[in-house]
Amino acid sequence: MHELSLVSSLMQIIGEDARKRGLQKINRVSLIIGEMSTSSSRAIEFALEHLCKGTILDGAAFEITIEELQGKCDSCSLLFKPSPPFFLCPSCGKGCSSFTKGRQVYIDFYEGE
Amino acid sequence: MKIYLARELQEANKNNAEDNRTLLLKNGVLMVNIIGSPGSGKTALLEQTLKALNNKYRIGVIEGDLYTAEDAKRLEQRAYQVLQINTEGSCHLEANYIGHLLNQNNSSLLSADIIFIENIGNLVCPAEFDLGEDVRVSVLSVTEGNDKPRKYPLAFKVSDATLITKTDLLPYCDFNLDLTLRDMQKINDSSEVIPISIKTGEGLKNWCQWLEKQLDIKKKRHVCS
Repeated sequence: MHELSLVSSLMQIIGEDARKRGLQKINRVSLIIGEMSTSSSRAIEFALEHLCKGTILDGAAFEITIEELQGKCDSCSLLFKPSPPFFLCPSCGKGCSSFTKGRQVYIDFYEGE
Repeated sequence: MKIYLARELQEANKNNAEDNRTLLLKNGVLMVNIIGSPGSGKTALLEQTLKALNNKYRIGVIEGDLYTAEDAKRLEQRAYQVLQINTEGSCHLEANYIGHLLNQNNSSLLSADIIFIENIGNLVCPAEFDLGEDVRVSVLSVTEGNDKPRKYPLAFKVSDATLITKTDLLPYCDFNLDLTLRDMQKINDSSEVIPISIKTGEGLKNWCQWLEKQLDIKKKRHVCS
């Protein structure tokens, strides 16, 4: 359940940004969850529902998009969708030491007034 | 009003981890983050590691547990300083917990050569939280079975070394060491894999040599910084 930490962080980031802009209410939040972020969208939704009550985010519509995993082959630089457990390149069979997409949870945008 | 942020939710933890890393480099301290399942042998590994190295180096330990100080008690005779973090239910440690201990006035952790962090027993969440460590080490015991690296590949992919522990029990387990070594190679071919037994001492020397190599790299970086 590290999703509670992530949602607390979301509330802090949006809360601070909205305060700076003088916004009173947040209506909509677009949240991107990487498919290999090991964060459950259901657990995030649960945490949002309970933690946002009584805050500037109370009543906001949260739109969650799952971002596909993408890796770059260490050997041939091909961008591909790696599959667990070995995340191997479909072209040359080598591994990818880094993922280019699908590992993070991030806020794309929010709407407020 | 629509505001594009593109900000990561791990941002605060990553910043805290970088602060820890800067502090550790300034003081020339190597920090090792140890992750693994409950019962994989993390504390026993630390006991033997301290026994092997504590005459040579000042070693600090940060023990992460949900509850109790059992593990810290096991280690306090041998370490330079042992500090316990109880997360009271939380499944992982975060960089700000470590930063808090490093920055405490009465903490002598920054005078240590090596700080070991024993993370919460869990192969999922600890892999996601950078603590500011220099190296992350995963511990996999042969009693857990061959399937663990395939089931939890990220934990092993983000590790700089994996210790396969309890190898003295290999004759009594259906654990195929060769298969796991091949799997580990596919998951992360730059990771060091060291089979080890605390009971027989097998692999302990290789592990200590690997640690000393990391310490040497860190001390050199400290001098250059």
